[in-house]
Amino acid sequence: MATLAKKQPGARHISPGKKSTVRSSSGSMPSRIRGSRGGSSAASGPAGTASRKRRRGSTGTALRSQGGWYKRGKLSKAAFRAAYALGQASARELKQEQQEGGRQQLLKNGSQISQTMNAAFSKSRAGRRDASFSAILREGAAFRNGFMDAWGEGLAMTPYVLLPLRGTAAAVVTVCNEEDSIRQVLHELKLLPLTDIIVVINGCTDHSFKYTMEFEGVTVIHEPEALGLDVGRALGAKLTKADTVLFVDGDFPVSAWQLAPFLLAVDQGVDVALNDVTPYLGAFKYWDAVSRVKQFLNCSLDRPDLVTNSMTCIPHALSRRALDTIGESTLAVPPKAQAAALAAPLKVQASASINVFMKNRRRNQNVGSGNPVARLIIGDHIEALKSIQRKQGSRLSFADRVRRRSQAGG
Amino acid sequence: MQLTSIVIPTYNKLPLLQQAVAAIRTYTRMDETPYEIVVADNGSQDGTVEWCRQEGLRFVALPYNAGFPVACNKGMRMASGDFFLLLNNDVTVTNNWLPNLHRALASDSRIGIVGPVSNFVSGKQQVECSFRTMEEFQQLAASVNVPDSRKWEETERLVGFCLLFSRAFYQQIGELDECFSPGHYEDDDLCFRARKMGYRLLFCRDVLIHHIGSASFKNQDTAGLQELLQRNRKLFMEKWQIDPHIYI
Repeated sequence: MATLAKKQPGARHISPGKKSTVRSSSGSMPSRIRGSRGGSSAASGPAGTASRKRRRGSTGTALRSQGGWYKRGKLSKAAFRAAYALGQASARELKQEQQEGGRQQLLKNGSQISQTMNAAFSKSRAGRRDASFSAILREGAAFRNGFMDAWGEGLAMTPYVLLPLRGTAAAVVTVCNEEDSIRQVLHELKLLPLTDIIVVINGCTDHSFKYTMEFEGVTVIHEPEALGLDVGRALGAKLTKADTVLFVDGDFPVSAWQLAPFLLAVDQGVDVALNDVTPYLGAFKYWDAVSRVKQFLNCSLDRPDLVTNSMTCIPHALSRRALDTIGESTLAVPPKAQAAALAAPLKVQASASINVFMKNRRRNQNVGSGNPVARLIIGDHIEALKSIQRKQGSRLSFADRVRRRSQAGG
Repeated sequence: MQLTSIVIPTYNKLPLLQQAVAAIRTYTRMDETPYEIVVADNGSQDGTVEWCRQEGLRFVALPYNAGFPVACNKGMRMASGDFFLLLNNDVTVTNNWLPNLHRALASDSRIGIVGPVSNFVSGKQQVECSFRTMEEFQQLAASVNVPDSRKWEETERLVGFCLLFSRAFYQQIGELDECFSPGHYEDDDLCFRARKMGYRLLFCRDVLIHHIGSASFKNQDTAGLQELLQRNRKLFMEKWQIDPHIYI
């Protein structure tokens, strides 16, 4: 799996046309930056031959089942060079404006750099037909490299992920004693063009709060008592008015590159962009009760294609329309939010595939069949189904075309 | 009994916040008027956030100074109470303050917002007080804050340093208008909107609290402050075609 572990921050990127020297490393070395497992080729360096080589060696089972949502959009050398050149041109233009206007230091801090580059990139892509997400990401990388090269001094190479978003985007992170991983999580989020990063620190007795406050541009909600992941997400969602809200957890760093598809999908019209965990489930007979009830909910609401994908799993992203329809309070019970989204109906689909199963910590409460956490989740699903049945009838999508139920009194 | 969320926007001036919170804890009884404190920190750099964490307070720490209306709005979104009490950080509350305010608010279903009187506030809510120390002021307030519905007065405008309203009111009227950031006239705007919807506003002469006044805005140069006041007054007039000063 390709990682950036070998690259030092501040090192120059690799110019277009040259072969990449980043090689696949063994999976056992944990990457400081790319903490995710599986998923797409993680590097945000230049596209072209390098990434194609890396992909062949990668372990991500997700890539094998990409389906339609994550087409292997190839970026031709010409397109790459064009994007790079656009980046350079943008940088020169901005620098000139700065000099003419006499403005002091246009790009003072990380957020400004990211915002400026992203705005320039969005402008350069304005009015263009939507390409695959993968192509957009690679173009963004090329543009960024060109921009940073042309800007020159004072701009350390940081792998910002540029996205041509039409609306604003925010992220909500729930944290309960995650000092080991929170810095990585926030580092990755800072690479994305987000207007708001809201961290819900609840019931933390470790250094999570201190580490979070070290990041600039982050809104921190502090709750002395532990709220639980779901309530934390609902609370975080209330504090932002962004058009897209991405939900992640503080204990599982996911690379910015992998989170980008969620933002792009919602920006392009999807209401609920879910994580596709189907490739990691295995055979049905080995599924646990929670997975089965998730699938049952999706099938009952006429979406068997989603399999077990649901808002109970992070990461996922919601549009402003989804938040208004579902209501932030309902997010506190994810199965209900899922049911509300499917029943509305909102545009719900899987936008990326990240293996989150490795990360779930084994605690006394959530192993073994019939464990309390599982019972709670299953109970929530049952309640969710009941509330939809009240409105849509008890059969939901399983219409009975055989029996004359009216004659049988039911 | 219903919960009151006391939302305190703050920007630096930690000693003031500490005094405000201490007064709330001293003079508000949980069994009489259950409350929670929600601090909305506007990017303070003086240890405010660390202190709030040590005290186990619920708070939201914004990354930069977003101004009074934004901080209040975020605090209210975090708040879980049935009532909101917006309180400036340079206010020191007194004996019986909250039950008396609630009594006034509950006296008529058409009352939208209630406020107190104070030693230093613009408009009708200002009262003459003579005192030398805070202890003397508290003694004075204790004698003034005897519940008396005859001491309530109708008004057309309440100052945002201390406002009590219900969640139902908030859901109908909405939050503070952030176009008035960094501050001033968002309270006039809220009161105006309330009255447009048929709500009444009261201030209570049986609730005397202490206010230092413009703790955040005094730091700016007077010219800067005057400019802000003029700009926001103009914004109000553009919005409503009425001069807010006629209500003061």
